[in-house]
Amino acid sequence: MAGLKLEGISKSFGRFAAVRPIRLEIRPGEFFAILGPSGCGKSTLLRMIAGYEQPDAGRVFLGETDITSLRPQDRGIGMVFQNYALFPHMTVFENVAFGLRARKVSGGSIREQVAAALESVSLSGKSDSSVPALSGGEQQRVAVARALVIRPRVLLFDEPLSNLDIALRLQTREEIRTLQRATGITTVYVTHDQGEAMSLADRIAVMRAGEVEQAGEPGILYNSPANSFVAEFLGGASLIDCHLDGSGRVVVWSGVSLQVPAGFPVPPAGPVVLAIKPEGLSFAEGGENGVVQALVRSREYTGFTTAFTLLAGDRVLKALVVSTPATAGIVPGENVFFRVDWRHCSLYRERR
Amino acid sequence: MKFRTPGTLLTVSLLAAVFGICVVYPLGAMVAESLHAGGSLSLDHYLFLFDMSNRVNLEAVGNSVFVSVVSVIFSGIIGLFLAFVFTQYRFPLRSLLARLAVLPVALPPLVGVIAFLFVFGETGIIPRGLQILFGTAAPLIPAGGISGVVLVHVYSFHVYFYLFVSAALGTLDGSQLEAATGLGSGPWRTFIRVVLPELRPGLLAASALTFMSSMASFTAPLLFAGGKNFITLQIYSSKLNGDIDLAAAQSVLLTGVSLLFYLFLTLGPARRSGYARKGAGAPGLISPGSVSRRVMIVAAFTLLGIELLPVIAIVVLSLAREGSWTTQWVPSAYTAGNYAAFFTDAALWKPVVNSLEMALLALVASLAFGITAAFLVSRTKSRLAGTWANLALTLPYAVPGTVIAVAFILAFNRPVLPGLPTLLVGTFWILPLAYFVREYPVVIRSVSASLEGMDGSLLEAASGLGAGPLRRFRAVALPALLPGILSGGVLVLIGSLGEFVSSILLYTYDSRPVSVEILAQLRLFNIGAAAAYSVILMLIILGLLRLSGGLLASDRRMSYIL
Repeated sequence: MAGLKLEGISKSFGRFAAVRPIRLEIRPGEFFAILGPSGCGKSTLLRMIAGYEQPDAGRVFLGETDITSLRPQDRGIGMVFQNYALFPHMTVFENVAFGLRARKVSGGSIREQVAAALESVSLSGKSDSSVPALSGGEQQRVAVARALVIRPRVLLFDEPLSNLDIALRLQTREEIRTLQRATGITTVYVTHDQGEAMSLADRIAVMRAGEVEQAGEPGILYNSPANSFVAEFLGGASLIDCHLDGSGRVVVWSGVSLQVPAGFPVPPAGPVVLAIKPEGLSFAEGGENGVVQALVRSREYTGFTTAFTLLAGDRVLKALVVSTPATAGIVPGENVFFRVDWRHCSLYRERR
Repeated sequence: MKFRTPGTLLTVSLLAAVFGICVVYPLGAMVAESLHAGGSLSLDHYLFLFDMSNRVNLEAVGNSVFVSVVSVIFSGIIGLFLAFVFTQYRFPLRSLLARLAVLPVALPPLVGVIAFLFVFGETGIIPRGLQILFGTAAPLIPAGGISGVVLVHVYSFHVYFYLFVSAALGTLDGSQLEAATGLGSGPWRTFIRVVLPELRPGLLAASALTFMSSMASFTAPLLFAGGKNFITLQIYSSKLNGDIDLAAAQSVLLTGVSLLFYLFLTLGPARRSGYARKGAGAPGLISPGSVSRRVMIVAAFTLLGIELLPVIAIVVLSLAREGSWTTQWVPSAYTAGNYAAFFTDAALWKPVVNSLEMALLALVASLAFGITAAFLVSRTKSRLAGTWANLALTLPYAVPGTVIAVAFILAFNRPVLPGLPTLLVGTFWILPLAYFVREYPVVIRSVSASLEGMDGSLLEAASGLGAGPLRRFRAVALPALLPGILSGGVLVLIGSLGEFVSSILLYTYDSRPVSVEILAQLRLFNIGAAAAYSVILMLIILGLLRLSGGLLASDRRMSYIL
């Protein structure tokens, strides 16, 4: 099992800096997700690891070996493409066997290894099917089998589930996780879906505009986002520009003032950004201590939970609460009171 | 069949009548004639074709087939190579040169052939130049006979391969190539196992088209073959010898071969890949070494240079003083006189005006017939019926020009119907009619391609928003179809303006087209005049191409029309 080490790699296309110098260490056997909105440079980063792009600067290490100048086929890396990139004129078997044939593996051994790879993605019966005849999920699994069969030291995924419908996405996600656990292969997984990243990865790097904003275990990223971007992107937090008074214990915005609990880490007084995750808001009775008044703008009932959009002192806040008969009675246009749970909040000096 | 409105019924009847009179009747008359000998039904003419004691016909068929096969091979190699270089590499002037690469398709066949004759022929510029350079007794490596014909074919038909392969390479999925590379496949393995299968339908289509066109080729053998026999030449000489029955039998034979390939072309290889790709694949680029890259680009430039040579030669020769090009490698004296004559002698314009008139008539008829037919076919409910209707309607595409001429001679040298007293043979109208029959399939093909490409839900959306049929056609369908109509129309004009193969058998002196005039001047050794006419023809065609914008720039569109 080998880990990956990226030492300050960067890449520009013309004047556009797709990836700014990035340092990352991916541990052996780890499932590592690179998460970010489209255009953040995550795919370029992955393609530099795979060898399809040459970094402008920096080095890539696989284990102890510097692979920066190696060709893709010499890196010992398997890649699953976003559109699967299956060869449409070949059968499932031939697609999976392609890498082995290129490596001049003997016929008998090819049959064995392909069968094993197809077995591992539960496609044993589809060996002779043609690619266009497969469903999207099956094509995806063939792509995984094709990448695995050459026994790569690292497996790369480029948004592999983005072409599947939701139900299939959840199921395939689980299969990928199981497969990775079973093989223990170091995996780098690029996605823009934070749910996917959180559920799959041992660690996540959140990227934005070519830079890594924060890297770490999902729980740490979720509970202690390093900046407002991570809080918003990963935790779905509402960001509120407000003012922290001189005492450092009160934030104020357009007529609303909130008490910051003692011991809560605060930036220097002045203009600050308050990030509140949706689960950090709960409804309260008027007149209670520390409650804030707000106008209900919309309600979205999804069964177990109900999502509300609130307007408090002309700032929009998102709230997610467990559905109860009481929440069912709250309708748009109504004035309500809510309380803030500071365990789901953070304060930053500026917006990122 | 049920028709939704009386209007549709009327239109269909009209189309059927035109198709019946212009296509079915002449071809039927030809088949009937070929099966008649001495007043009764017989196979004598066909038996004569395969008569072992008289090998001329067999030899002609053999030559035609041999030349066609060789033409396919070399056109394939060169077209594939150019397509590869132009889609896979980025280099200066690329888009301009890519447009230049399809020039031979726009060159009228006769002009192309005589230009080749001037450059590579027995007394051509290059053999003469080599003779003078090396001081040999005779011109060196002149092209002639079989090799000359093949050379001309490759010059014209490699464009088919170029267009089909470019279109296929343009849609190649880059991540497939990356996947192959990542799995350890070298460039050759990737090309053969991954790229070539994607190109297969295009290569098959281009091969069929090239074979068809080579078999039907008349001009190149006529001017270049130097005594070698070809099936089209046999038809021509049978007709000239007054043996029209034999010409009919030979025509039926040639048409049979052509039709076979046409069926294969339209029904055989899947024109479009049925595998819908998901997500965005990177553009497909095959990364080569930088040395081989440079070598390949230089080779491509050289090929394009050779491609331009005939055009340059024709321009140079149009400026040659008559009699100044006998044993020199290029003419020794130059003059603008060949062009000046056009300003002093209005009669010289006659063939040009004739061609323009006849091409316009053919254009109007082709557009009216082609657009209507394409629309009606697209409205057939069953897919199979649509395919067959399309195939039948575009049948003349597969009929060689020589054959159409023979069929017309047989059909229209007597009144079509008792009520119509006119014979068409020997009148002005026979040529525009022949042009129409030869060219309208292009309109059907291009409009059908646009119709297929049009999203059906657009029309549904329009009608859902309250647009009536007329508004739907004008505001939604027409803008989507206009490129198809335009490119089809321009191809009709180009084809008709330079038409030679049918014209040479059907023309009357008063309505002789430019191509026939060029040949006449050439026969009189008025090389300058012949070249000047050729240049004028080329200029008109280039003007049309410019007018139509990026017609030839779009590889994909062209490969659907052809």
